[in-house]
Amino acid sequence: MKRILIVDDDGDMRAIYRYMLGGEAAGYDLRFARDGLQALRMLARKPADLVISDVIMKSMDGMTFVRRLREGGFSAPVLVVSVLKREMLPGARGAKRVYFMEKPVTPHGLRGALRRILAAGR
Amino acid sequence: MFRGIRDARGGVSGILGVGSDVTQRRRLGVMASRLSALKKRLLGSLDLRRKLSIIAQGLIEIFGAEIARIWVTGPGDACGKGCVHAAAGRRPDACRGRSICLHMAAGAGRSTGLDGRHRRVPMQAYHAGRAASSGDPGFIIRADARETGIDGAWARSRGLVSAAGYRLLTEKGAPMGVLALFSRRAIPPEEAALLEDAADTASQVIRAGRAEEELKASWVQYRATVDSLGQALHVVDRDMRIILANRACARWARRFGARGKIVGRTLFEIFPFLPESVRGEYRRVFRTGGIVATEESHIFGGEEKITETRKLPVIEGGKTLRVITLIADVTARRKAEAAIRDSEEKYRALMEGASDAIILAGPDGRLVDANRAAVRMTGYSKKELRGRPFFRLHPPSERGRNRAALERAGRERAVETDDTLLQRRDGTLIPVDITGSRIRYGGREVTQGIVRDISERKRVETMRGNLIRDVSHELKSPIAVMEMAHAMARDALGAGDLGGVRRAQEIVARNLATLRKEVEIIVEMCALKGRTAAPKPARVSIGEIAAEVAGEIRDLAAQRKIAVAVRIGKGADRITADRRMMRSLLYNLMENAVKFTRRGSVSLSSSRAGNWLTIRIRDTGMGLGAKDADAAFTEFFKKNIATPGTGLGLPICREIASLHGGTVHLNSAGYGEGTTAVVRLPLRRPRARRGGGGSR
Repeated sequence: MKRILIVDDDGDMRAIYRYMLGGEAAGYDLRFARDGLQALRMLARKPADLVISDVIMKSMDGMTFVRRLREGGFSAPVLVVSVLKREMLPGARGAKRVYFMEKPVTPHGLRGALRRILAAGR
Repeated sequence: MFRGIRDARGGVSGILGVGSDVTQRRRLGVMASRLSALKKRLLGSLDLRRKLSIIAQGLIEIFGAEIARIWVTGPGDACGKGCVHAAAGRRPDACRGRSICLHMAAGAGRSTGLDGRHRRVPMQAYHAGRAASSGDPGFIIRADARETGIDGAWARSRGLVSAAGYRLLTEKGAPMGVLALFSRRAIPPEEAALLEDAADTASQVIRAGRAEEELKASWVQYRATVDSLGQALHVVDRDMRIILANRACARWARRFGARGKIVGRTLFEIFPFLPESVRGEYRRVFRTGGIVATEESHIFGGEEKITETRKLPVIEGGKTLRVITLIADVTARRKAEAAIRDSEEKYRALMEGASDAIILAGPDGRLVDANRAAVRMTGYSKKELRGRPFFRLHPPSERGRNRAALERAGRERAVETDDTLLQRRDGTLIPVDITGSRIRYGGREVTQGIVRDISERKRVETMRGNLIRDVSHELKSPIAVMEMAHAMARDALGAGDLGGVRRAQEIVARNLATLRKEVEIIVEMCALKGRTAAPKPARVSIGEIAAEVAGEIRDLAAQRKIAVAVRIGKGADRITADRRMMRSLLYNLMENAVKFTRRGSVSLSSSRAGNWLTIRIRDTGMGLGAKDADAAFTEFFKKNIATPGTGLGLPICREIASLHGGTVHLNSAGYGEGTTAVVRLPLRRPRARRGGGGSR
């Protein structure tokens, strides 16, 4: 079972992710963090196979979070999901194993993206 | 029978067959004195032709000759005109294309009837030509001697028995002519010395004449040169008397009123207005032998003329005998120089006053000047900027681009380098635009660079970019969440998962409310800015509105465990204002207070002072810096993109307060120290026009 950590400060978004990716059939071990700092602490305790992160968050923006992840030696792929276009995200260029999806995402689209990313990482 | 006797030098020193010695000596003595008298006559100021005629006549009289002729050398000018000598075939007297021939200059005695043909005699031909080109000074021969080139029949028919020919020489000993005479008597050899003396006298006369002619010709040329000068020229002697003046000088003199001849009169007669200092200048040139250059200004018919005068000494034997004065009209030049100076001064003033930095670089790329704005912008002093290679004002990454631009500025009218960087003295970088162009400055071509600091523009551009990003994020986020919740509901419905459908509906409802609030606030701002929302004044109770708003935000406050209190002071409740606007004002301020407070309380209090009502909304939240307290009233301002809201709440509060003739501002002791929003409103009816507002 693949371990996925979802980082988003919006409770509604966390609920949507839980519905889209939850359940035994999906085969994911989901964990949730409200911001980047909490996510870093969680990852330090237990690594994940993939991280899904929002960009605009109160304590730490998503791109800073990705940078801190890499600085901390965490190399798992990150899927950045935002209403902002990729070119509007500072520091998005050149990031390794970082994937982007623009909101809104459909359950089907999100699951497909996760499969592809995880398959590429094998 | 006559025969020439030659002396040791080859000259003819005597001739055989002569009378008694005594008579001879007496006769030679008379001849010598007559020759001396002849020489004296030649000292007068006569022209060359006249002098040679006198000599020829003298030969007749002194030597008792029948015919006397003098030829002088000249160009073979008849050669090309069918000269008889050129056509003489192979005869010994034939001319063979010589470039010079003997031109008869004077003759006396009997007319021979041969002069016509003998006016030009080829060198080495005939008696005259042979004598002129001979290696001997001269000779005395029989007139009918065939080998001399003399026509014997002609000589006999005229009873001529003796002939003499003496060459005339230049100072350097080159043939210059011939003196020839024919006599009915045998010329004795004792007379050879006298004849040689006469020839020598003729040579001297011709040489002097020619020198005089050359001098005259050179003088004419000199005058022509002097007259052709654009400058006026005159020469004065030590008595200040003008001894030479060219045409331009004469024109100057006439313009100043002088009449008649200039030469011979003193400088001060011709130019009576000259100041005493001019006399001093001339005295100095005469005394020191140095050059004096001055510039003067004159008024001609109301028009100013500027002249440049140079006084040059003519030194002979170590003493200045004359002074040459050259006067040039430099009015046009000076005016042009003044115009350039004037335009440069204007340019300098403009440059100094410009708000953009202006730097001027020479062809070698080094700065020749810079204005005050450049000093401010770069942090270098003017002294440090001058001589500094311009490209060193840029960081290494920008140098190549700016160097190329400077080179292009040399060829093109104007070259623009947009969005480059300037490196200040302290190493910091400023974004700048540079416009380069070629101008004349300080008498030379330089490249002018107008450097505009675009930091502010860049900041505004960044702000605008952030604004678009923030607003789009703020509006798109709830929409995206609703769309995803909608998809979730559809899936849940398909799976018969009613719990999922309900959760999705709740998500949609929350985000719909958020979106509506955001849209409403944007619409409200547009209405306030567009003046479509004029206040509708009525008597309203601040306490009532505050209680209403507190009720609205109670849920949010309760979630955060924040206590909300409203305290209305005595006489500080009722006010004439637009109720809806007052509600919006208090809602935005109270919601803001709750939003930025994690724990503690939010309290609203009102008080009255004179005609003013003061409302304070105090929180125990995160507080803010003085800079942000002002910036918070800027439309769409958000300290951080993650800060919730559109960034329009506070600008709306300021607009509303302003429409009511009041103000609103934020007070905070700093981050973590809480914030107090202070609203001041007049108790009387609101004014129709919009006032200044803002924090005091």
